[in-house]
Amino acid sequence: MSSNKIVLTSSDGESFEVEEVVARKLQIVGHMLEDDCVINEIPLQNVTGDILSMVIEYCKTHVDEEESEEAQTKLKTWDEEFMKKFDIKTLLQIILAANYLNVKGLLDLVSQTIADTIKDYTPEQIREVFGVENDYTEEEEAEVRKENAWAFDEADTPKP
Amino acid sequence: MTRRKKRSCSNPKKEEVVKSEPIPFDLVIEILLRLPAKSIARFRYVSKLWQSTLRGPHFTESFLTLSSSRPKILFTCLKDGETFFFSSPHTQDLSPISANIHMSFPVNCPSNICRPVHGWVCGSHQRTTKGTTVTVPLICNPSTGESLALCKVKTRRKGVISFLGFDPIDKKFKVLCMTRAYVGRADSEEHQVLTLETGKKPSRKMIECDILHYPTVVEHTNGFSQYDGVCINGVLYYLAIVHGVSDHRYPDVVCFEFRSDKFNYIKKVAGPGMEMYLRGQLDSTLVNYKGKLAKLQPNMSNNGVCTGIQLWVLEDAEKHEWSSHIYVLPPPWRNVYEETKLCFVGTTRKGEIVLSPNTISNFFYLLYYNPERNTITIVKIKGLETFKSHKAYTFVDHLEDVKLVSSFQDHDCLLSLARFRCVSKLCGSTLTNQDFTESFYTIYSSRPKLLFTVLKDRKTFFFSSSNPQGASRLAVKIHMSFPINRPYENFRPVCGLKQHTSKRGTINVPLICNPSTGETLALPNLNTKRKRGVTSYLGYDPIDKQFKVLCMSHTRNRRYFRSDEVEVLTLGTGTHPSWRMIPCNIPHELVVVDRTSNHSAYDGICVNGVLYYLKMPKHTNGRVISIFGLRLQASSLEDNSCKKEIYVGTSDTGEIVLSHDIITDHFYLSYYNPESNTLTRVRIQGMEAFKERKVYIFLDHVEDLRQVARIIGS
Repeated sequence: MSSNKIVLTSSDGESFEVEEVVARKLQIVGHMLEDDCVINEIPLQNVTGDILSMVIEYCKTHVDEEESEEAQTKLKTWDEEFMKKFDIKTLLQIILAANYLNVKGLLDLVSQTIADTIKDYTPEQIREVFGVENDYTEEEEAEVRKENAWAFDEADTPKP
Repeated sequence: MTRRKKRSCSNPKKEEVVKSEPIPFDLVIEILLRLPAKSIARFRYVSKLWQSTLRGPHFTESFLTLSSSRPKILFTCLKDGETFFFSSPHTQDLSPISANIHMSFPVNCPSNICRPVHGWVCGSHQRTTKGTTVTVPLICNPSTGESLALCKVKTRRKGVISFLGFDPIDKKFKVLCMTRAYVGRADSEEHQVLTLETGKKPSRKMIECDILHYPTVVEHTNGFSQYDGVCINGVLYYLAIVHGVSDHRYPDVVCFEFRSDKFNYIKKVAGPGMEMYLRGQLDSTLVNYKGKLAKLQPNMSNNGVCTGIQLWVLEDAEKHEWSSHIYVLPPPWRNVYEETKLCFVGTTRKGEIVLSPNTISNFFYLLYYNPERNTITIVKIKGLETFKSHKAYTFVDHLEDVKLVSSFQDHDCLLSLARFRCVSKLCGSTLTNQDFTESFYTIYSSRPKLLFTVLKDRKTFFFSSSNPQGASRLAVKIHMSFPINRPYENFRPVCGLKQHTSKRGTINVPLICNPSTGETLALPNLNTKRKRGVTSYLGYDPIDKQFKVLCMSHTRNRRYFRSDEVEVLTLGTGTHPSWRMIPCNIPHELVVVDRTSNHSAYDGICVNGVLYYLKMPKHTNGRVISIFGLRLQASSLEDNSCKKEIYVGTSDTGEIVLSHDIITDHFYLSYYNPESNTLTRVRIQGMEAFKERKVYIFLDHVEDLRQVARIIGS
């Protein structure tokens, strides 16, 4: 295995030295390395150091994905534990980073985690989280609410 | 990993900026695809963009694809004249499952077991008024809470049996309906298939059935005979007694292929062992076993003790080949079997056999038998306590489909698109995003709409509605009005945009309008000095994807165009659009197709980047002898506006559409079908305020969210 080291620099100037094989899990880095193999320091403008460190932690754990069922179960458990650490705001930053850095596995994992987190949210909470402006008039809102009344019975007592 | 800080960056302001970065809408969609159906229903109400996205075909198709990879457990239970639906995810670690109540539907006639097919179920609602019993098959989607009544089947002492099926090739839901007299061994009659199609009214077709048979009653509930059918890969299988083939005690399997509308039957294996055990402690059931038809039945030892389960798998339907597997179950089986009346639920994708108690008691559970490990696992189900002593059906392969029932009906399920662009900044940026508008446009190209334009009070009003697809009544919705007061053209929509000439002072300014977004764009003044009469046509070049405007000017008394009087303007070049003179070697005169409010109106059709319009020949007295273009009936006859009926165009199915040119109290479109030689009238409602006004109707309007500014590229 190549023990080449790559330095990844975040938008706020934090640097991380990782093995090339880990860095390649970030497809954006993988493409850069293919285009020009001499770079060993890569600036990543759209991601902060805090978030980048989490992405790297994920990539290191997933660097050699084994086929065996046991290894898969272990990774799955690790993923669950890993995701438990974050609140919704951090998750949203991670999904942005995973999208920008193009880490497919992490993108799927974070999407599912966010979905699980927000599934019992009220529309009001959703608007807040995703910054969506409510453009329904009161009458329209009442109408749509009536159509989907069955979906609201539990959500009236929203989770924090 | 070494982590070093090159410079400390603790600027809180910057941090804030990063946190409030909006999530791109495609990422939001990725998240939403992973939500349960119930959350989807709730989040429709977040904003209009969310509503339209969550209803849109792109989203619902992707959702279904993801949902197919993680089927859910569905429970149905009839109580107090309603059928209740519960669902829960599959258990990973055998911990108790809580069944969440989804909703109930007024399915009170349990003539068939509501087995989910591709996420949907078919049940029946029966009501008796004035001595007549009417049974209405209902198509329900437990993931959205919607139901669609199919058609009334009037019955006189006859039972209606309906089975839902899904054709995976055409991606259509179909329902096989048949009737049967209640008495004795009467065979099924009046076989028909209803096809549900997106955007169309359900269509009905009678089917010839040359196999005399009657479906086997698998259960008696509340005095109703209940039937069961399993649909696998577009083929429906149900148990039936086939005339002259089956022993009256032991049914065979009848199959119906939804694509070819053919009935067939599958014989039992010769010799003993494959009899159906019905009305025993454990009834035989047809199930979907890893994509094949299979039959689960108890395995009885010689002394009548149930030692386990026998699984028959259909290996080859044409050769009537079945394979048999006998599983002798471990000891807990005997206790469970003797204590409780069980029923077969089905098999999981891993091949586990699932059973449940026949009725809900204090303790409802699913029993998983794993044939590889020969183990029995009991998974407790919570949440069904209020349905104690009722019969519950459980299905282990339920898909969640958030497509709305209304997509099968003829009305437009989308809200007015024109308002979306002012939803929010995020929505605004998404809507102007080229990818979004292009894919939106692609979807809507396949579903053109009706567009009506009416000039009143120096404004042109636009109305739209979806194409009728068999409906006899259409309500048109007003879109918006534009300050177009010079009806020089026939306002024919070109790829969703329309172009008109508006009088600004005494100068005629061509206006580009998009009725889908409400935007207008005034084009720059023409180079020509001849301001007398200006005729302009909007065209679309599908290769360069550019809108172009052809403009011709003429003096009032002489309508010939010479080469210096024809100009073209190209939109979307990124620079400010300007007129370009083009040589015209064919001096010609335009045909006035209509005179409205003292203005001469002309007409032209743009098909595939070529504009066609009518010209006057040089030496005749104004009679049309040369016609360019396709769709002659549309363009050549519209000038006969003195006639009461005018030609609107042809529909995508080849019907010729006619209408009156003036709005009346009873305004309608007539669809003439040349193949069947039939005339259908579709009443148009919603334009009453425009009575006595001239109206133009177009059948092929495509809604386009692209903003005018984008198209101009400036």
